[in-house]
Amino acid sequence: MSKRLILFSLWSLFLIAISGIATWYAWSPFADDERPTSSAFRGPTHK
Amino acid sequence: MESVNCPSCGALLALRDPGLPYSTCGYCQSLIRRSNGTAEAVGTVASLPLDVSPIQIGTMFTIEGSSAIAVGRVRWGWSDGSWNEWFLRVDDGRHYWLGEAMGMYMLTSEYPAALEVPAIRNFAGGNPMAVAATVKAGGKWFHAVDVKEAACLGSEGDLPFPTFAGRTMTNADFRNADGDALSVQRDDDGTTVWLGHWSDLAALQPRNLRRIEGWTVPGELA
Amino acid sequence: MTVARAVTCPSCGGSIEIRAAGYTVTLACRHCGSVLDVAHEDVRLITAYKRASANFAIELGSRGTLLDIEWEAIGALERRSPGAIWQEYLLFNPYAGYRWLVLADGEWQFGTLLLDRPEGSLSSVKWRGQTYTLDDSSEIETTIVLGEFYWRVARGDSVQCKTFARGSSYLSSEASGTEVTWTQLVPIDRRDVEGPFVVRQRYKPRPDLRAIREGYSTAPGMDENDLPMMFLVALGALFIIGILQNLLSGPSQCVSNRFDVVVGAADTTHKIGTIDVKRPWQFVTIKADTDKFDNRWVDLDYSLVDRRTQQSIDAYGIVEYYAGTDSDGPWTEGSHHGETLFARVPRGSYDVYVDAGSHGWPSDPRPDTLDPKNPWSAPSTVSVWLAACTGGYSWGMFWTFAVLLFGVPCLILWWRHQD
Repeated sequence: MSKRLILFSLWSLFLIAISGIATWYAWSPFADDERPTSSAFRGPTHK
Repeated sequence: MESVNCPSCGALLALRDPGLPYSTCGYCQSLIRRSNGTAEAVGTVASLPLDVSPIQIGTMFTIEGSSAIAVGRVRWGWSDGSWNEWFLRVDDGRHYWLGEAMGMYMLTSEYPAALEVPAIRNFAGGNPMAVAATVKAGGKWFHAVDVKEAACLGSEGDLPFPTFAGRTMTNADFRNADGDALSVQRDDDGTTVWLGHWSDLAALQPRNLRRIEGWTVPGELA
Repeated sequence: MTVARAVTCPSCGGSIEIRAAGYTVTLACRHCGSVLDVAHEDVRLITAYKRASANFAIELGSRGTLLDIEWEAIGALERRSPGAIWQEYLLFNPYAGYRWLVLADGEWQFGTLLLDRPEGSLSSVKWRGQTYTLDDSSEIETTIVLGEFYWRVARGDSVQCKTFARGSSYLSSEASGTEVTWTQLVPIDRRDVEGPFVVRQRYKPRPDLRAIREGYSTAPGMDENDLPMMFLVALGALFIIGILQNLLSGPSQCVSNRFDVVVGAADTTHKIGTIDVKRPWQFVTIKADTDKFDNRWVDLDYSLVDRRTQQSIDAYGIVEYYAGTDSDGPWTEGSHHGETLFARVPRGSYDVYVDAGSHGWPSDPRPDTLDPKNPWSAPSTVSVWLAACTGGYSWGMFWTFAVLLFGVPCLILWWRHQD
């Protein structure tokens, strides 16, 4: 097993741990606690 | 060791082969002709261009059990480069030419019998040598590998012919699969044939090699 | 006494030392790469180039001891055949002559010019009593030249090359014109070369073209190909992350409700229901679906009101859908579905409220455009179905982890193929 692969496996374990902790505390940077746009007016962005 | 005073500059020159008619003065580049105990300056030769040849005048070799010494050198140039021909004298008075090119060595002795070979006799008569010509000499087959016009670039030591700048010759090299070599040289004095073989430096068991700055002589050659 | 002959490049004016003075015939300037004729006292320019290649593994002028003899690297060639590209280095020692180092696919070979030549047929040759069989026959082109050589050499030179193999030893014949040269090539350990010589780590040779065609190849400097394994590890890790999110996010409980929103009217408040967050922290997701409409949007301001403390947690959602026609033809934008995520909702029982308001684009339908003869005609409305659930999880997080996992091998793959 190459050194690079060992490092990558450690990185994967780290991400698994982070994901477990984040799910346990129900934390996510993708929560919708702010309005998508500040303006009250909406409409298509189509050009 | 016999010696001679340069008739031109008076320097004392050691003669490693008194039997040879020509010597080059290492100080004033005069070409000295010796005969019957007299020495006369007959001209000057070009000084040798810088090279990193490991051989020098006085380098000793062992050839077929006999000791040989480098007594002279001619440098020949042709359109695509140049090479050294070292003249070696064996203790018993025989001579060899040691050609030095591409870091390899061609040791040959004169083999007049091959002058009777038709292709070589034809070449000696002034005709071109056919590329890929095949000849038999000394019981071995050879094929021509290159034919080139060469001009004398300079000389040092004792030599059998004068080495004025402008002396030219036509050289035909033959070889075979066993590493044997045949060299035919044609110049104004006639044509000579030299037979021998290719080898590396170590196989010649050299002693007293030239010290080249920045390099150490490998153990087996020191 | 120095034995290097110094010459000045007629192309760039740079000073160059000829290390094998007396033997060297062709010199490719180390400053500008121009090819010079140095066979004679005067230096002639053969071909001018603007830049010397720096893509050689061994630095010219560096010395190393191989097989008990010290060698100086004085010349370098890059050569290619239809299927491969490799580098050749000319080594010089004034007492031992010339040798070659060949670098192909990260493997080194030590080459010696043969004085005695192999003889044989087209398919095999015999040399010093041993038979070598034909391995390859191809035309070889010299593509880059740097340093000094004892023969005439130029970019674009091509020779017909035949290689005969016996185990890991090779005999190689090169024919150009009437001249044929034979070289014996034996493998030499990488460490034996890379220890003594100055080998540029960054300029390891490119992977051979055949290997590129096969897809993966061994990265320069890597002994094994670990990329497929890396993808496997990434896939496994993502699978575990998915399972973890599923297991740790529960238990799930849902409530749902349906109501109508009048377009252009003031916001109205609706209660969706009551949900219980049963773990210390949970996600809450609210999915909104509407009936079909065009050129409207529905603003949804959600509140989770803790029944015990009356504290409220807010989040926002929107459902919007637009359609039209322009010079490119008809277009649509948006969908009739929306999803809203509450993060870090603490344990408790919550009433789920929504403030809903809908508007038209580009403007609300105005009351005076309504039919005055029929003032009771129904105003335009949008029906909204809402479902609020505990125990959801963040897909954004999941895909972020996917990118962080697969990004590494993808980046390596991209970087390797750039090279």
